[in-house]
Amino acid sequence: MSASLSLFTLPLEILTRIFGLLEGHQIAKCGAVCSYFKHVIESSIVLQYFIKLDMFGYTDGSGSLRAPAVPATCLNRLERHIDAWNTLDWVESHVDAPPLREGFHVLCQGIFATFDHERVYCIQLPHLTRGILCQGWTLKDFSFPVDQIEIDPSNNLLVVVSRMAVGLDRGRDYEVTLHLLTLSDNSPHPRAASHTLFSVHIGSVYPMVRVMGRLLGVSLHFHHELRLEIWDWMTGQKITMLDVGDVPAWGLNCCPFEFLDATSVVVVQGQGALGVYEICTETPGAPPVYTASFCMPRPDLAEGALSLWRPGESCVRFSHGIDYRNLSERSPFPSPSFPLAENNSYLTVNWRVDDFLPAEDVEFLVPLSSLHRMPMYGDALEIPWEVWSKDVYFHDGHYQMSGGRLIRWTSDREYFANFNMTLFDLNRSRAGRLGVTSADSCTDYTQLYSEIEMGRPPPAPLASRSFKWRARLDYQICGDEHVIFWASHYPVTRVRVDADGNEQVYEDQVDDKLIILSMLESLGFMILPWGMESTSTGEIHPIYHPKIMINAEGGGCNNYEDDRPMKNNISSIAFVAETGDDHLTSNPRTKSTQKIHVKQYNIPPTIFIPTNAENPEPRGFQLPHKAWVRPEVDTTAAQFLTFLLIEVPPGLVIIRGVKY
Amino acid sequence: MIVSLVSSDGKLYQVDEAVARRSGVIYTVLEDIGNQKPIPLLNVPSHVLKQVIEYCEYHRTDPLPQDAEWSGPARAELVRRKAVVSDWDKKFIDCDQTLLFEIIQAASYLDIKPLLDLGCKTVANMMTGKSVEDIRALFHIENDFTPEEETAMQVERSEFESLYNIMIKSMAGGVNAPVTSLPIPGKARRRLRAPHY
Repeated sequence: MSASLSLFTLPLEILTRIFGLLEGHQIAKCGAVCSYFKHVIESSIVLQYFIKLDMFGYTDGSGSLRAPAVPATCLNRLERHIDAWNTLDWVESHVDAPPLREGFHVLCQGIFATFDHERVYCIQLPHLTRGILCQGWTLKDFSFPVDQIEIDPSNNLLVVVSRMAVGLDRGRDYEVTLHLLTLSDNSPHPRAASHTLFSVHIGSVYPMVRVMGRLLGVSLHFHHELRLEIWDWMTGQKITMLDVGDVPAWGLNCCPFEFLDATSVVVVQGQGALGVYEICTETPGAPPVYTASFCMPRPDLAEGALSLWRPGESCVRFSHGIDYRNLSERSPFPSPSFPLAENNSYLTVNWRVDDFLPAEDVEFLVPLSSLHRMPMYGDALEIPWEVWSKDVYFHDGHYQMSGGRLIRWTSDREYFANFNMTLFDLNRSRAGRLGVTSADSCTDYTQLYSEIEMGRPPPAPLASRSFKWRARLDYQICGDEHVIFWASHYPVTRVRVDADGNEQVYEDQVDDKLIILSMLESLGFMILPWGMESTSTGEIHPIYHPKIMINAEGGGCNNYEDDRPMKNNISSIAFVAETGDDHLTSNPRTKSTQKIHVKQYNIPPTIFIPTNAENPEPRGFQLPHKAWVRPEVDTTAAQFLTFLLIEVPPGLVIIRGVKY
Repeated sequence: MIVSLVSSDGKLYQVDEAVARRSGVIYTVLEDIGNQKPIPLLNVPSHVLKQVIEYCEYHRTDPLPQDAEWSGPARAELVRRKAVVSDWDKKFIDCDQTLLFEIIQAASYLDIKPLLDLGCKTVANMMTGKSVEDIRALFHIENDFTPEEETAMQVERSEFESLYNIMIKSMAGGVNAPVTSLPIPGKARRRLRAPHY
C-alpha cells in the first residue's frame, strides 16, 4: 500500500513529466487508471497536445521553429489545422505563376520550387497564423545549366544537377555535376565541405536526386545499367553505390527511389517489386544491405512499369523524413508545424500496366509502416503481395495525397468551371471510424483491375466543398498544409480611363496564377487579446507578443488594450496569442484556462483608427512610435494581396490587410 | 572541499563539493551562503540521500545537462531514448517502487535533472505497453471512478483504443489481409502526371 501512497505523493509536475515520455495513446490510457491521473492529464496542455497529435497522426514540428511556440498555441493550431482540413476551410492566396513545367517542381516543407534551364523559382507558401507571408524569389545567374533540382529547406539546401555533354556521342553521354547551394540565395552552401560532387552519367535522360538529412541520393545511367549513388553532402564523401540492374527495354529513365529514413532506401527492382536496402552510413564504401523486396500483384507482368513518384509533400520524404538532428538554426525557413507521423505516411507507387487495354496507371498508396516492419516476415527476403498488401490503397490516379489525406477534385467544365474538392481521410488511426471499407483479399490483378473498373461503394468522404474560380485549373499539387492549383487564363480585372474621363472596368485574360489554398488558418475569430481569463479563479494572465491576423477582405487596426474592437469597422480579426512563458502547464490552478477564450467579430470592412487617451475619437490610420514593421511584402503577390503587419511591443498591435 | 549534508532524520553525510554541486539546490546554497554550516535537507530521509549521493558520485564528471524541452525534436528524442539507460543506471534504479518514487521526489527537490529523468524514464518504461488494468495492478492503484464515470470513459476509451488497435493491427500485417480500394470517379479530369524519371 505504501507504493501507491508514494505514487500519489509525487507532485503533479513529476507525473506530467513521466506521462510526457509516453506515446500519445498510452497517455490517454493512463487517464483511465484513476481520477488523479485523469486530473493530471486533463490539466496539462502539453499532454493533451501529445494525445491529439498521436490521434491525428502527426508529430510536432513547431519545436524546431526559431522561436518555439508555447503548448497552448500549438494545441490551438493543431485543432484549427484539423478543423480546416476536415471542413475544407481554406484561405486563398493568389500569386503570379512561375514558368511551370509539368513534373519539374518540388514542394518541400512549405517551399515550392520550380525551374527552367537558367533559373530556379521559389515560393514560400503563406502561413498566416505563424506570420509567414507568401513570398517568392528567383535564383539566377548560375554558371551552369539547371537540369534537375532538389531542395531541403530545413538545411537551406538547394541541389542543382547539371549535365555536361562529353565524348564523341554528343547529346548522349554526359558528365553530371551536383552543385550544393543555399536555397535562400544560390551561394555555395556553407555546411558542405565540397560544393560540387561529380558523377558520370551515360545516357540522355535526367538523373534523379533525393535528399534526406545528410544523405544525398542520385540515380544515374551508367553504360546501360541503372545505378544509385549515395553521398554525404556535408563531407562530400560517396557513401555507397548500388547497381540496380540493366536499363530495361521499355526505357525507364532512371531507377526511381526514395529514402525511407536516415538509413534505408526503397528502389524499384525491375518492374515487379520494390526493394528495400539498408545503408551503412558509418562505413563509407560498404555496399547497401539488401533487406527485403516487396512484390507487386503480378511480378511476372513484363510489360508493366513501376515507379515511385512524389505528388507532393505527403510523400515519404517530406512527411516524416525530416532529420531533425541536422536542423540548422541558421536555416531561414520555418519548419512545418505538424509533420506526419510515420504511421500516417504513405509511399506513392505508380504502376503502369500495359497488358490491359487501354493501358492504365494505378497508384498504390503504401503505408510506410508496411515497408518498415521487416522482422514480422522472418528471414524471407521476397515478400509476396498478399502478405504486405493490407492497408495498401489503390486508386486510378484521379486522386492526390495531401497530408495523409486523399483529395479528389472534379470540375464540370474545362473553363471557368465549378470545381469540387472531396476529401478522404486515410489517417490509419481513424479510418475505421470513417467507414473506409476493406475489400476481400485480392491477389489477382485481373480481379483487382475489374474491381477498380466496377467501382466500389466509396468510403465516406470526410468533407466536400464546391467552389468557383474563373480560371482554368491545369495542375494540382498537394502538400501537407497547402493545395496549389496552377491556373491558366486567370482573369485580371483592370481599369481603363476612356477619353471622357470615365473609368471602365474590363477583364484581361493574361496571367497564369498559382492559387494557394492554405489549410492552416481559419480566420475570423478572436482570442481575447488582453489576456487569457481563467474561468476557475478569474485571474487574467497577460499575453505577451500577440499577433493579429486579419481577414484579407478588410483593413484595420486595433488597440488591444481597449476592449472595444467591435465598435470599429474591421471585417474580422484573429489575434494569435502566445503567452510568454509556460505557466499554463505548470500551474495547476490554471487548469481550466486550456480552453482559449474565443470571440468572434463580424464587422463590415473599413479602415479603423486606434483610440487611446490622446485620441479619444477614431481619426484615421495612425502609426505609433517605434513601430516595428515586418519587412518586405511579397512582390509577386502584391498585386492581389498585401499585408502590412506592424507590431508595437508591448502595447499596440496593428495589422492592415488590403486586397486590390 | 567537503560539504556536509544533513538528512531529514538528522544523519550527517560528508561529500565532495563537486558531488554536492550536482544538485541545483545545493549549488545555489553554496553560491549564496557558502560552505560553512552543514546543509539541512528537510525532505530527504537518510536512506534516500544515501542513494542520491551514490548516484552523484558515480556521475560526478558528467557534463551538466540542459533542461529537456517538451517540444518537437527534443521530445521525439526523449521518447526514442526512453529505453536507452546505461547499465550502471539500470542497476542503480532497480529498486522497489517506494524507494524509486522517493528517489524521484528527492531528485526533484534537490534539482538533479539527470536523476529525475532517469526516474521518470524508469516509471514510463514500466507503463509502456500496459493496459489500464495492468497499470492499476503494477502501482497498486485503486479504481476510484464511479460506475457512471467508468461507463462514460469506457466509451471514450474504447473508441480511442479501437482506433489504435486498427492501427497497430495494420502495422503487423498478416496473410490474407484485405486490400482496401477506392472508387473510380466518373469522368474526372485526368491529372497530369510527373514524368517517369
